Amino acid sequence: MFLSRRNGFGPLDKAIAVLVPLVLIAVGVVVYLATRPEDCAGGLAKRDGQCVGVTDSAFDANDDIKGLIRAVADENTRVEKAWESPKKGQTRIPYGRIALMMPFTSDDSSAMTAPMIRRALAGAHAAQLRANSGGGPHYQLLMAPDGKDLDKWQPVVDDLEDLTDDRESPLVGVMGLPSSTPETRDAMRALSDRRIATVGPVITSADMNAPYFFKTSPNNDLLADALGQYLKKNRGAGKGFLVFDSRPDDVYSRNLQKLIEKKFGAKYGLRKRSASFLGSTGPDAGIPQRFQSAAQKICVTDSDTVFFAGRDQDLPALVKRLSQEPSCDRSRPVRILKVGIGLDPTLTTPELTQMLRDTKTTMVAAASVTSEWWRNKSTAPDGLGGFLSVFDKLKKPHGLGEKSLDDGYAIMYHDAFMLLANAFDRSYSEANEPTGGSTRTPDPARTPTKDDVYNTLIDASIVDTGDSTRCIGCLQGAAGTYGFEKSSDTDDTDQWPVCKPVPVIEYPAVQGRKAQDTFRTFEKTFKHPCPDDVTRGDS
Amino acid sequence: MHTSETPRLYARDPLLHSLLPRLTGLAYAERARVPWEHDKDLPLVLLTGRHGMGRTAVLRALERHYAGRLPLALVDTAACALVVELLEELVCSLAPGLGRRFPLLLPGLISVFASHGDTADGRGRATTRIARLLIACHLESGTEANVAQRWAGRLRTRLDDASRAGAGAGAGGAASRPGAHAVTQAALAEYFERYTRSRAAAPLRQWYQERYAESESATTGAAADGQDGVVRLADWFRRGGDYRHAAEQTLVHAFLEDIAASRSKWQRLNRDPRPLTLLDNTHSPAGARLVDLILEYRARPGTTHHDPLVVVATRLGDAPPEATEAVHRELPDLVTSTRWRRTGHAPSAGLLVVPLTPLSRDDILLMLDAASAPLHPYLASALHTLTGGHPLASAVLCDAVLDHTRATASRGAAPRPPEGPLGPRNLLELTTPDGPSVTQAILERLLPSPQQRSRLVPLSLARDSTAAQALAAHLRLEGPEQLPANAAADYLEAEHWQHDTPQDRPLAADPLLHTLLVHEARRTSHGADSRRGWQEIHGFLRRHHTTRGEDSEADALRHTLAAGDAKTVVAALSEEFQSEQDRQSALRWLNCLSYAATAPAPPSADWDDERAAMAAGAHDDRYHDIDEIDRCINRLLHGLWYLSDALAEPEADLCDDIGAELAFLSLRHQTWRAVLSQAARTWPAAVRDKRPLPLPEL
Repeated sequence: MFLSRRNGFGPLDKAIAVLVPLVLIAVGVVVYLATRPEDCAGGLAKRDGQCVGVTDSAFDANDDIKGLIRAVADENTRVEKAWESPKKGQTRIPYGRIALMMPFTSDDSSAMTAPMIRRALAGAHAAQLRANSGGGPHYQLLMAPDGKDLDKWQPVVDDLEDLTDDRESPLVGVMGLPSSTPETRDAMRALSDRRIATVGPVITSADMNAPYFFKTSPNNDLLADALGQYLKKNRGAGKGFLVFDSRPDDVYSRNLQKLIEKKFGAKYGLRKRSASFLGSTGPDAGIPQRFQSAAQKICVTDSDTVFFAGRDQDLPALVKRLSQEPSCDRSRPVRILKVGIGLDPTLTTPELTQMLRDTKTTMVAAASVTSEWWRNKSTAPDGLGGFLSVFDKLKKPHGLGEKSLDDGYAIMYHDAFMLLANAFDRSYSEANEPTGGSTRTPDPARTPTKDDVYNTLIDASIVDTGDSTRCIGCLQGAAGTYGFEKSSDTDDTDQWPVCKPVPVIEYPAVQGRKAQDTFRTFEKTFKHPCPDDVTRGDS
Repeated sequence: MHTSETPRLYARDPLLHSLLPRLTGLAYAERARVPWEHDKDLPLVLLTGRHGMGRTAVLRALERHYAGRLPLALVDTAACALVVELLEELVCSLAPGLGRRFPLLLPGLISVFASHGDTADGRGRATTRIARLLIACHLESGTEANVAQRWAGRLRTRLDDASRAGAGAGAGGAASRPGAHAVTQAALAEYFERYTRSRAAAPLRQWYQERYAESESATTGAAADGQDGVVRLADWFRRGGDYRHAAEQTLVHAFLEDIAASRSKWQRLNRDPRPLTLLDNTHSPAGARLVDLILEYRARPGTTHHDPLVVVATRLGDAPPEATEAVHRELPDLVTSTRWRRTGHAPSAGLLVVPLTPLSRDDILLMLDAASAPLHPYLASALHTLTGGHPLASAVLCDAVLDHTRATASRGAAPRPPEGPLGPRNLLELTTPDGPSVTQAILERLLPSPQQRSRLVPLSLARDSTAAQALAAHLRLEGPEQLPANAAADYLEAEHWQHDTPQDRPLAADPLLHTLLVHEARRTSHGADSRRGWQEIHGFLRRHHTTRGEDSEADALRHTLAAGDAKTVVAALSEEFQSEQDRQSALRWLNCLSYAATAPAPPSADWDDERAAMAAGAHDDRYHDIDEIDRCINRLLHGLWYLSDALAEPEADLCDDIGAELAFLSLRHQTWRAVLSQAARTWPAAVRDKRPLPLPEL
């Protein structure tokens, strides 16, 4: 051992020389096997046990959306075939790609619940079917799962960026990004850095802003303004109370709490009259939904105006707690004010409705959509009909259920897709407009790039004609007709929708009570009211 | 690994490339392990051979190739008088490589060395030796002198303390000079206290204790701390005789057990090369004793654990006569396997005797391969015939040849003898690169004693012991011995050149030695007038044989011829040829002719070698005064004389001429026809092959 190896190598030396590399290789193989990205169906890559990436074909996801995914994949194939190898006698139809970036799997604490995912996908697919049924370019709906907690966005964004280089069928934009979390914000910024137009259908945190990030829903600020407008007309006893989600890293709840405190804090003394809870969405940090103290405080302080700064998933627990709270005086009505996209079906279950009625509690929600629209078609925005005709066909085969529209996800995802598709359509027609004397479209057709799409999107669409406000090139979406203002220094809308109708819902509805006024976003910034999006026979 | 600097060994490959790698487990010239032939019990390899057979060269080659690759010791046992000194050398060489501190042997050696420390001089020597051992075993660091000085100081302190204590106890003033005993005890106490932990020291004290009966500890007295065993070992050593042998046996056992214990299980399983000990000249008393002790240790009945020490020893001459159970193997046997297995309980059963064999003609051809100029085609053969493949003589001659060709090639250098082209016949006239003649250089190595050598040079010219004795008396060779010739013969036997010296043969029986001695006599001849001159000596010997009677006629003729007087010899042979008739005398005549022709050639200084030309008949015109039979005999004699020279090339013409002359003679004689014609048929082949000339059978 002490002599140099001038005396050769013995059997044990050789055994070690063989074994050590073998062990190292074995360890390497084990480490590789344990850490390598596993293959998933549809060309997705496995990260921490979840399939993430971008795909246009079927893959493994929640069981209840398999049919929808299949349908989207089939449609994608059809679209691709119509371009690559059209049937005889048919012209090649160009197509763009719109990526739906959101979780496709869920568990108890995931960012989206399984029904949310189903309805969102159904809405987007309905929009795809609508877009592909008309003239102009067709669309593939790329599915881009980014992990149930939205934290696997990085590889997805990288994959998306690669797709933008495709000259024939480029990536038009990205939609999805369901929830206002730090991960979503990072993903949003990353996409914006890569100059990819992105639409957040259900984003409401006012600070979710990036140059390329468009929102189809009003933000919490606007929603709170709608609530303010409501409270002006329905003053109540004036005793307020704030219940807020205490998760420090939940952008949505923090933003909402801040806004409510800013707008109503002084008037309702919310600084001293508040209680917190741990929301169920997000990583494990303790027992969630503990509302006992909040309920006690609400009842003890005889509050009738309860501001809820949290996610809809947690609200039923608060209602239950309130109904069980013995210290409550059941004779006086209580309002729970909340904001949101719509009313989640979990909030309108018969059981919960009965509880609300028993405790004389009313939920007042400023939302993007209201079920009033499809119950009473006369109040519905113009764009809703076209959506419903397609969506109703999807309901049955995919088992979407009765209240599939109530939470607004289907409508908002539909609108997000439509926003991008419209922009691409317009860019495409402009790019291929007959020029000079020629009446023919250029051949080959010029495909707009993602930058063209962005420029179309950002083009100011609300125009002041002097005696009224007109909407040029606005999106006639299922949730109203609205557009986007080009950002300016003084009046920055930050790619939030302009003139988006914000209905205020009272639930349970009081028989005979007139529907509340619909708030229009940024209406105050114009001299004239927003253009009507409801073609009412009686107005 | 071979470089031009290191001398190459020829015809030793079975030993170097096969046997030793199989014993040590390490290839000779490459960095590879080799499977062991013997798993546990190892044979002690004994290389035997006469002077100049390359015993030491083999050991040096082994040392060159294995040094630094395995624990190695090369010890010339002739340089040490005592086994303990050999052990000291072995420890100093092996300890660094073994990484073992010889815990068993070291106290034993220290006690033995210290027991000679009862005088100031002796103590100085003892501390120097102890210091050497401690440094080799990494127990001390620094120079030998420093460590020795430190030890001397510590010993003095201990002895002073002891003597004070003794005085206090009333032992009296006699303790002014410490006895050997006290020094031993002080040294051991110092060693144990300083270099061993008490727990580690206990088993090794026990080991010594078990070997020396406890009963005597009462008589030796004050041996404290259980050191009695070690102290008594030193006692026994000092007593000498059988006691010393027993002490040496204990120390050798301790040495081998230390070696065995130094190898870890890992090293065994990993087949790490075994330690190698090379013992040169074990015919010396200490060397022979050490070899015997190692063999005895390995032959202990019921031995379960074996020491891994590979021992290669050399010995002048043959294996010791008492080694009856030793296994003998020739070099070629060693290539695949020694097939050695311990068969008996005798110590010599552990001995593997390998006699070193002479080189072949091919080896010599290889040795001459480096010559810068083309050599005489027969040179290698002549050299081989001359030396018989003797490695040393061959090497010296080949070096001289190469040196000569180099000197001849570079014209600037002063020409060396011999002048003119180098041929087989002037091989012995070469000089070594250092100056002296090759024969002198070789003889100095083969016969180390200058006195005996100078005595043997003239005596080698004598035909047998009687003649040598007479010559010695004539030359007034003096010496301490009564009979100088016998003393010279005894010397040759002592140097293992021969087992006994037959009365009717020259003193040096070995052909090479004889040739060299004769040539040395020729070379150192002091001219015709000196008493020690070539002519004078041969004249004396001729007279000596003439006076010894009829049977010595051939010898007288031989010495006559050696003196250069071919004419007389031819005349004598001719007379006999023409006068004798019976077949018996024909044989005698042939014997006479062939024996006379073996005469050594006279020194070239006073004689021109024209034998070949004479044999070919080139100078027949000088002999027109004699008849054709005489001329024929003259040619025949010169032909045979020329061809009897070991260095002469047996040219085909000359050999055929021998047959032709004999055939011619057979036709000229009335009755010898059959005998002579038979000789005419057989002799040419014999001279061609350099065989002794066969006498025809009756």
